[in-house]
Amino acid sequence: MYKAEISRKNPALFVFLLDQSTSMEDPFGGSRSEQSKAAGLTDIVNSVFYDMVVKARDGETTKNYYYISVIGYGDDVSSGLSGSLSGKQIISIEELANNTLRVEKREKKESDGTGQLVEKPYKMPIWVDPVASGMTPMREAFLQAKEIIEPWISDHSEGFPPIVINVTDGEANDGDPEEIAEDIKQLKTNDGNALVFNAHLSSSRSIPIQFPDRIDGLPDDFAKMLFRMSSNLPQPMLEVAKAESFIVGEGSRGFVFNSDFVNLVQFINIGTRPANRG
Amino acid sequence: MISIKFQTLAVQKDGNTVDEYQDASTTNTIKYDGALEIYAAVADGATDSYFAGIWARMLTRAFSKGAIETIDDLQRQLGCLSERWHNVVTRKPLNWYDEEGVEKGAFATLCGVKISLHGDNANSGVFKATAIGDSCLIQVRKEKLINMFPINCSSEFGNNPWLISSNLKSNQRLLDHYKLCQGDWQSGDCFIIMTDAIAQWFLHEFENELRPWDVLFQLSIAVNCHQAFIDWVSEMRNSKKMKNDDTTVIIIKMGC
Repeated sequence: MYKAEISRKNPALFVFLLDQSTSMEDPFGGSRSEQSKAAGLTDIVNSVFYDMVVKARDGETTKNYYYISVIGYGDDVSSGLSGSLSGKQIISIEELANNTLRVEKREKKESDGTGQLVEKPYKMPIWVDPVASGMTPMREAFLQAKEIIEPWISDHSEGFPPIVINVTDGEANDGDPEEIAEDIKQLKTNDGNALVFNAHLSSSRSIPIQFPDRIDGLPDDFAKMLFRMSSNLPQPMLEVAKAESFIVGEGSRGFVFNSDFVNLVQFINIGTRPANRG
Repeated sequence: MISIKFQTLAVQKDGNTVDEYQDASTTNTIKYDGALEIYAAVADGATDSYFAGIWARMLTRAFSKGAIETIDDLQRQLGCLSERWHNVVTRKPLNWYDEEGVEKGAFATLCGVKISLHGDNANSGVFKATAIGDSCLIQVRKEKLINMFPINCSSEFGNNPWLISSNLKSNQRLLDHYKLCQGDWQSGDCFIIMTDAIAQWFLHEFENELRPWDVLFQLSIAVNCHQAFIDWVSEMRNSKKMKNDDTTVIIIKMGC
């Protein structure tokens, strides 16, 4: 299971659910504590999209290995993309690559090899800007995700199961999203059940947590609910995660607390990944 | 002079175009002072890297010119090859999304063999094979497989082999991953060099006490051998006996 090749012939679907409620204005308790949670969310999501584009490029062409759906939930539940991608339910990775809102020039600190930190310029593509307005209709967002996944599965029954990635600061206020997440996890292709992963962005200064295998020790009830909603990392993803030196075990779930989740996409194999690529 | 027949058969990953094929293969013969050296190499550009097909072609060409016969040669040549790769891929301005990928570089396997013949009437000689990564060499003699290099078992193939990079920083442990195999050949021997998908199929068949070389010999002498190979690979992929990947094989028959 979870071994279906991901290729043009058998693309994978990722559905991103982005919390855009008013509480996302509050400060982010993670490594970027000077930011709001909404800004932390967009940095993480834009980085994941960038990583997916890079993985689908071979230098000359963009291979449509991935299709993406982005749903924002706050004032309403609707497409989380804007600009020329606004309103599109599912887009190919090639459309994503060619339709950024803008590409920002930023700087990051990197070691110069002698132990000194130096500012290094880099380009950051932006597809999603921070939004923080309204309630948290997470249940409705999961319902829309389910409606997107169902027809995808009937058209791609041999493919890698769809993956839902929900990024939120916590509590739904339109009912229980857990049961809908459970319904999604029951949808399946011949390669396995659909996967639900959650990233919890909190204002709490608790230490970041990645892919925990137990509920004990999670800092609050929202984190515990999102842990319960999250699928176990399938064996092939665990193997890649271990090879990349992540501390994961049999019960590790696709859940992170105040942490990046770029790695989640990297855990999915699309072919030869050199051991010495770094 | 002993007759030597080469046949290279290749097909791209299903779903990709011919232009997106990222394996490479080269054969060459070099004559000097009454001796003949035969070079043949395959390389497999990694999916998860940039302009890997160009890098794979550079590696096989360098090998087949006799430029990388030893680990010292390889280490000496990598600087020049890396610079050439960089010049080729940056000839046109890069898109923003390619800058990081080009910085990380291209990665490829390399498996090559040099077969030496001394004198016009040579009916035997020696060979030297080198490999980095999971492309393989097989030697068959009198219907028996007598050499498997560098992988001996179909379960040893994975998705994370250590590869040769155009980014020199990624080659720091090259010596640890460089494999060498030397031996002799006799008239009637056959060498088969393969990239990983077909090599894994080959070893799996052999482990099941079949003779996969016979299948490849038949394909190599088919009337339209290239189309026959494409059809056969498609059949193997559909029956899940072979991974869907760029697939390349060189068959060298010594004195057949």
